[in-house]
Amino acid sequence: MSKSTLNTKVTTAIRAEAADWFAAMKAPDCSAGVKQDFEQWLKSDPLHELAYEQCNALWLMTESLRSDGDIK
Amino acid sequence: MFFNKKPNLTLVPRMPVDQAVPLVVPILNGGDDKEVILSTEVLYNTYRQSLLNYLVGMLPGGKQDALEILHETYIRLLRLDNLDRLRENPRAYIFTVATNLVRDFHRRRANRVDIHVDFDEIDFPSDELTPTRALNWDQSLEQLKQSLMCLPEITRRIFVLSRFDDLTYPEIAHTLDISTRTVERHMSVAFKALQHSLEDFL
Repeated sequence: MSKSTLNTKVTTAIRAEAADWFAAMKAPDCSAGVKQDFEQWLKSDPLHELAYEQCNALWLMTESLRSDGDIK
Repeated sequence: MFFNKKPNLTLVPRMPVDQAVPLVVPILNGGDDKEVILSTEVLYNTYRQSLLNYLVGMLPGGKQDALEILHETYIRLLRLDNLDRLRENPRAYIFTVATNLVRDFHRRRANRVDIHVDFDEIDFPSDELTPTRALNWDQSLEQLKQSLMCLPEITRRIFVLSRFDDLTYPEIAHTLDISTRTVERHMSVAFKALQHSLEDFL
């Protein structure tokens, strides 16, 4: 990525990739190869890590909806 | 060395000039490739306001929790031995450090009962060109809830089984007589809905 086109914010496309990876990493039978691909994706752009951690934060935030009867 | 100096905890975390660490970063959002000498201090102060707005919506204690995370972010930045990642994309890196702290906060919180405290508004002067508007915790939760309510029935059911009933993908797959790959796809759809609901401030 050239300096002049450096994105400082997570794009919709990166967010979608992060959601796919986050869903994949929750699978208990996730293979070593998939984990390796994930690590590579995660490290290849600082925005990937940010998007992934945002996804994780949202997941954890929903803990507060656990007792909300409307959702179930 | 100045790295060993203890920051004054009574102050809102604004990095003192004498703790500035010289580093070179590309000019962000600019049309050319010129580089400019910036310091960790300048970078931190540039994103402080938008970071605070970002954090307020992710934490139940509002400004109080957000200021604590902001302060811890500042401490982490000061402790950095290797500035490569900060240099590569300062905003992404600073927001990642803060988001990791939010993650740790919620992990700890899941194991204890919290007291909700409202604090007065604290205004920072903003240096970033387009500061993100802030949400509060209740608004964030409501938007997350609405995004889940709007999911297709099967997707919401799968999310609930995973999130609140703590079932694994194979267990959900067995319960609903679908493949684990299908479970994963529905989970991804649910995550995208959660992201979309708070897109403006992420």
